[in-house]
Amino acid sequence: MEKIELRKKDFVTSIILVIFGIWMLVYTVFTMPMKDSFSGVINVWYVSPALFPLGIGSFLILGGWVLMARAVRDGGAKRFFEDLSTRGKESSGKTFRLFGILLPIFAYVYLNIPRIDFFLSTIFCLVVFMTFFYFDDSMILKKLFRFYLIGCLFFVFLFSVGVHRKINGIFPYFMDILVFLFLLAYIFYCAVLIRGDQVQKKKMKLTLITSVITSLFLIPAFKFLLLVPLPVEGGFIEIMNIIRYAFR
Amino acid sequence: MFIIEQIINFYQTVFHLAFNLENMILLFAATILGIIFGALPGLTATLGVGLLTTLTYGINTNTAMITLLGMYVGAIYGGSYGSICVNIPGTAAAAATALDGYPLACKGEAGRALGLTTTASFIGTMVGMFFLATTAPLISSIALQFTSYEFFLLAFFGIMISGGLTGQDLVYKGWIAGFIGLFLAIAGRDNLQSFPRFTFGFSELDGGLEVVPVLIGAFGIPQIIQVIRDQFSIAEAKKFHRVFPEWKIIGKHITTIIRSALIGVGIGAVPGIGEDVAAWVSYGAAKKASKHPEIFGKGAYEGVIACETGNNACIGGAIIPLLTLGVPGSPPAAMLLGALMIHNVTPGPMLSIEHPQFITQMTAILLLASFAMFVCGILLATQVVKVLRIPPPLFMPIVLVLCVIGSYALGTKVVNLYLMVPIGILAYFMQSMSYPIAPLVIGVILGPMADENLRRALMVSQGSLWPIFTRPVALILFILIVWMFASQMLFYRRFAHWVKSRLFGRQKDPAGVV
Repeated sequence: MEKIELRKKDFVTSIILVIFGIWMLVYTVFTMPMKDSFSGVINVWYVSPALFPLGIGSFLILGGWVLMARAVRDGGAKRFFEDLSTRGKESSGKTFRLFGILLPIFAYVYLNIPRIDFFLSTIFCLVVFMTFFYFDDSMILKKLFRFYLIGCLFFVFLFSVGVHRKINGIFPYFMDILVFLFLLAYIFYCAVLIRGDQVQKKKMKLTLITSVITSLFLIPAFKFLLLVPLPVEGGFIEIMNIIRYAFR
Repeated sequence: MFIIEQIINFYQTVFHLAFNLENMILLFAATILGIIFGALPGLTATLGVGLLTTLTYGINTNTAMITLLGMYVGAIYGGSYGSICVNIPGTAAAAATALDGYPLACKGEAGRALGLTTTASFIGTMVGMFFLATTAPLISSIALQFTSYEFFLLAFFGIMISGGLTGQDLVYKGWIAGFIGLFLAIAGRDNLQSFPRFTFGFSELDGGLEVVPVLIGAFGIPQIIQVIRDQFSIAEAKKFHRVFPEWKIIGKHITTIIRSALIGVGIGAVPGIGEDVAAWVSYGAAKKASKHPEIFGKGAYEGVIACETGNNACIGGAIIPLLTLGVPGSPPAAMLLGALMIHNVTPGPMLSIEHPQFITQMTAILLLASFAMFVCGILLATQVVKVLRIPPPLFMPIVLVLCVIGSYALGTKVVNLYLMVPIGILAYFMQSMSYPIAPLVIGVILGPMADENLRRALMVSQGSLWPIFTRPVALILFILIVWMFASQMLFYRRFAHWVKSRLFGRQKDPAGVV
């Protein structure tokens, strides 16, 4: 990275560090006992639980201040304010790729894992992540990203209004089935986007095989060999249970 | 007599471990997996050890350590495959190997270069093991005399030196990373008074952040983002047919080997530095001492030997402070610390009392791991190199799933995942702004040690800091910390320049500080 660009980022980071350090000091002073008594223990300043956080907060302010001084001296602050005045800067392809990486990660960890069958969540995450980048085509990435994002927003809506609990109560595994249908729709959309391209078709095939094999290997290994209870054991894991205990 | 007893005890432990079929199968499997992890650009030894940790919590401690050390040794060695065959280091530790390894491969000597790295790595690991066996009990007995002041200063020194030596841009960026790690470490109920700090009313945070998910997040997520975002592509690997142990060439460069091994062990013993620094310093020292420094970078055997001996010797070195002081010498050693904690083994001075055989067992496992690495390296190199053909968009999502399932499996808490992802993203952005990640991790690990011991020390001395100046080890650590701080200050650099100019005459000020 160009030095001045780095200093520009350092300038922003230094402001964040100073603010964070000040917040830490204020939060510590107002929430932790210094010389008061806590749970029947009379504190002295040097045993206070606030001692260490105060030290860390002070250092972060000092570090932020030194970093800011350096950034200002090397022209980072100047570049920051110059860039601020130039508006309408287009986001680069790399930034979009970053969003493309973060979307499946966030959807997997914060949306699917706590609510959907773990096996299905894992396969879905693998298929999405691989198809986003293995095709190596920015247009396909953009279209798939949009499709997946809309689907995720739909599920965010369902989960936020609590529909999933009610429907699952009436019809077990309904949400798993709904997500599975979304996965099928996603795969179908991929197939439409790459139709006629033999190389991409081969990649798609490899993606699906890798996703299924990885999930079929990892999840039973954790569930039945390491005896780890999975976050949500829905319809698919129930099928695995039936198969596993049928052969016991 | 005592030494003979110890040697007999050591070999008994080696044979006891080696004659267990399950141990041997796991050792070889983990070593091969380690070589694959090391060879694949984007996957690191730290991540490998971290992910494997999650699979070992159900097995006994010895077997778990066999698998983890097999992975560690294999991954550090495996990094050379990418360096030599495609000019992309598989791990940071093998970056220096690429300088001479790839030119050798271009000359059609890829097999020979891999033979050299295999042999040099084997010797390096053995030297590291020797130092672990001989110095660890000694340091343990000295560390038993340590009080809370020494432990606080040691933890603080670990963070400071790790930040100071791993920072690629500015030294204080490393320190800032270390202090962010300390902040993460203090979240949860404090160990002395059980007061909740930075929990914001969430009971899930009362126990604090679990170390292994934090480590997996800090090392795994940035790797995934970086490799995919930068469209990392791997060129066609240079071809070779066989790998032979290159004893003749090694014999010719025995001085380089001894020097590099000592550098590796020394750097490994310094908290939080790691194998990459060991490899670069060994390479630099070999070039400086060579009669033909001009051939370095063009395919010098000596260059390859120096890096690989240095980085593998670092493993033993990094385990010394881990076992004796509870301070990891490198990022993969930090992962080992997490694994030991899962197995209810608390590294530190009390280890030799609570588990008297543990250091001997670790040494024996390191010996077996180095043999496994050598055998796998010689026999399987031609096969392992094929993994370099796997495109990153296919294996990185699998790594993500492994990170997620691994972080979850340790405490079976989804909250670990909720924390792992933001820590990983924070680590990615920090890395992209040239903040080193090792001090952050060292901060997370050593934070509780620093906090508890500072307050305990002050409690004993009734708030006085005077004992620091009356205890020799504490005083040395204190002086080193102050010196590290001061060396970054303008007044110190001006003073140092003034002293130099007085001693050696007028000099041009390279930094422009005067």
